[in-house]
Amino acid sequence: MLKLLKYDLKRDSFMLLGAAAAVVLLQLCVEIGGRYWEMGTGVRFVLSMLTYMLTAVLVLVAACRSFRENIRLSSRRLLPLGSLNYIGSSALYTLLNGLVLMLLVSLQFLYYRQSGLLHEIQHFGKLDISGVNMYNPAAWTVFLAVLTFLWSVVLLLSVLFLVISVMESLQVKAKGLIGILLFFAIGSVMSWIEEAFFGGGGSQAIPRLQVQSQSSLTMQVRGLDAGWGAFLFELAVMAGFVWLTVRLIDRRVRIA
Amino acid sequence: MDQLLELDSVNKRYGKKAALKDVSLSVGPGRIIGLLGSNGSGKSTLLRIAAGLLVPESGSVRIQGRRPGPGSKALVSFMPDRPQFESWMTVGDALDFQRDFFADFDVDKSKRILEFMRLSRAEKTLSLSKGMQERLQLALALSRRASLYLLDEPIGGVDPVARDHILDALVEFYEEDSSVIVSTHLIADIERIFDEVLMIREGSLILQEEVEQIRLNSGKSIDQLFKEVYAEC
Repeated sequence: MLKLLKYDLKRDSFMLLGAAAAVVLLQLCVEIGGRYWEMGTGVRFVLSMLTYMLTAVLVLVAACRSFRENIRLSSRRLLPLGSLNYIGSSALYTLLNGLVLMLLVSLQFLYYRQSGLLHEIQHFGKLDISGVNMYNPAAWTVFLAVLTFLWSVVLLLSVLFLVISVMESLQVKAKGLIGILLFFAIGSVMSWIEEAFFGGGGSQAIPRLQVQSQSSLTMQVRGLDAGWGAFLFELAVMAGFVWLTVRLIDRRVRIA
Repeated sequence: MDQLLELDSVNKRYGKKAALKDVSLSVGPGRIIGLLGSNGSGKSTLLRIAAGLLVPESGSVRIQGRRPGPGSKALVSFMPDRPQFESWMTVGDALDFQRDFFADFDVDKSKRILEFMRLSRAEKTLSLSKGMQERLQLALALSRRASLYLLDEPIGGVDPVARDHILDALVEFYEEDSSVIVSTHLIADIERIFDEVLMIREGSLILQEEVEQIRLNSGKSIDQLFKEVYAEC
């Protein structure tokens, strides 16, 4: 699995290094250019966060592309590896890229803190994450929040990899559209079940955002108080998705 | 010794079209076998099933007694009819990729093959001509000490000089206790190296016989026999 990851990173090294350089350059442009064009701190902060969110989406797209290549190229499928390795290596690839992105975000927050801008940003609006004291979080809460976030990413990846495997098993032109519909269908059914049986608990990858006013944004990361029921449900669903993905790779996915 | 490859009543369909119909065969060690057939007869499908890239609808496949899977892939060295290296790779990357995943990869042998094929590790695979890409494909396949080599159209798109060079490399570098199955429809150029031939037509295996036996029985070369058998296709 790690060898496969090594070649995934080697294959995409140009794109990944380019993307990292572009993110850093964009942040410098926002910070330096923003000051030059007299943008407010709040505007610069929002632009920075939008850049990171866009990059996070691109990381997911790159992971999907990497997984698709791994399961359909004969060079990869001829390797003496079980199909679980393709899933594991692409998941590690995403988490590794996500970690680099989180490192960049942390550096930015460190800069905000050191330069006193964080204090200024706090006065622009109210950002609440349910159960978390944003500006003085307990270590345990931070740990749980990170764990919940990682879990939601892994769950999201299991859905994405299943959808890609289904798409690559089909021989119809509209397989892209079918994939998108399947992704949303799975998401909706899971949300409905969690809503009906676990009181809306569960670790959705995209947290619920509740905009109360122009200057108040409440983000509910339900995973923090979702309980064991929701967690076990998601664990079972994920195991099922991974099993199905392995079966599809072994028997159905068409190899180029 | 066990058979290297055994297929028993193997069937494979692509939608409504039957690609293989009830194919049964076995391949022992130490043979160079020609898998002959016209375009679309099912040669590539048969090799891809043996390599573990395709799953048959019915029938059984065994490679040294194992079902196709990670274990059998470690025993089989497959050269597909399309490039198996990735476009970002140099020749060196492609060889390192094989070395990292296959325990039977022989580094010394790969160096000798590269020299024989006049390939350089630093060359980008994308900039290689078709003939040189075929040479690299063969170098990747033969650099392993595999039990079974499956070569899908190794001389398909190259000029006659390159063909001879590739065939010489094949004879020089394959492991003598292993077997090689070479699919082709260019019989005249290659029949000199075959011990045995398999003929496949419209997905059905119509002949599996020793080359010498065919020559003795029919008094014809394999090329002549092929033209007779496939004249109506």
